[in-house]
Amino acid sequence: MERLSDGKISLSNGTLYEALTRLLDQELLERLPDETPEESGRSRKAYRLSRDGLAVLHAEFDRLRRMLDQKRPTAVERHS
Amino acid sequence: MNNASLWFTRLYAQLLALYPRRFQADFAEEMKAVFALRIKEAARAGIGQPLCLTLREMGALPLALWAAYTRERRPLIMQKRLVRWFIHEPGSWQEILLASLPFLALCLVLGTFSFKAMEAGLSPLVGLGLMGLIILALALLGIAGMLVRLPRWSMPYAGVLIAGAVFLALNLLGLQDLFFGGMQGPWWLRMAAFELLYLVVLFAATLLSLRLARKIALTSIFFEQVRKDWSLISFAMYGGAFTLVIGMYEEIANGGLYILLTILPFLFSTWVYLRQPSLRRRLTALSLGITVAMGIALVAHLLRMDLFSPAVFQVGGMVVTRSILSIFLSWLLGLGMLFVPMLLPRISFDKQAQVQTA
Repeated sequence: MERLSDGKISLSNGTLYEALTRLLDQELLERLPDETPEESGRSRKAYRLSRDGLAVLHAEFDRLRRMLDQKRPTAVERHS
Repeated sequence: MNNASLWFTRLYAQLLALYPRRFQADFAEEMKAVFALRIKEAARAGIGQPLCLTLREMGALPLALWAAYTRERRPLIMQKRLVRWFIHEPGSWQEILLASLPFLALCLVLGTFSFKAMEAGLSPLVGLGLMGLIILALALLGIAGMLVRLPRWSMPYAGVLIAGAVFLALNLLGLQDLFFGGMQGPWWLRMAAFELLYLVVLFAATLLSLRLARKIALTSIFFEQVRKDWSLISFAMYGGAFTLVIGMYEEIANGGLYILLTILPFLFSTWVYLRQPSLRRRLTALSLGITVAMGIALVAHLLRMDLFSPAVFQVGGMVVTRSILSIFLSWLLGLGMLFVPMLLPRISFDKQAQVQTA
């Protein structure tokens, strides 16, 4: 996550798994069957968005986009 | 992995034992493996990095533990059951059954039990008791619908609730008494004015409920669904219109058979609404349901009590009584309730950004 966000978002393991369990409880995320162990010997855990999860993601995306669309220049911005 | 990194990983593995057992069984191995990988990466970044990472994890631990134990105490199994019982494929028989239950249950109780109980000379309390139980069961189903984010089947429940609440509020404010008691003017005009007022207040209450639904995390997804398909609100209002139809039988003694017949149009329209993708067909089905149900009420009035109803005016050679006119106006109100949600796409729910003027 840290790498994906260029170091802007850094989550502790505890926070990450708390979020993960919450999303699993709400059935927004699904746990896929365990894959075969990697070279390191640990089995890889995979998750994917459920249908509801995808709908919530789209709804949130729409909400944020509408907020950005509605941004109007303030007086300070207009005069600068 | 050097000794220090190995030691940090072991320490972290010990700390994981503080989590609830079920959480440990699900995630401890995975968390340990992820932490070991992160330690390995941190060790590559610099000598003090594994220590920083471990300290950060320990700092976040109390909050993560608190969240895990709080979650553990919640009735998780119940939540999963709710999802299994109350979320179904669109158009499935389970969805249709859940949506039809208010119509089915109320018509069956009002049409059979209370009627028969009274006919058999039993206490009317038997009917009232059954009615109370059914209303309680329907209220619980409505709450379950809210907990699973207001799926389509829960719309008639929400409609019955909002329509009932608005009617009660108008009554408590004394407006019904004012229109039908204190106010001067022809009866039909006062009735039409009251129903128009009811429609406006009902729509305002619906808008208010939608704004509220948007702010609550549990129901915000429903708000987005309504933006895409306003007919969901028409379906909710269909539940409200059902209370209008049932209200038509208030003054009819032994109208049980007609109330039972009312089940058919309501079930048919619910089935079409939930199975049809076409908006036009859905609305046609709902309109037809209300029209046929009101038609049954009209027949009941004509056969059972129209003799006692005062005449309002004459059209050609036909006397229009107060009960016929009342059904006609309620039918118009029911259709109005179905079609007023058409205005929803024109209403902006987003607060316009404040533009400051210099």
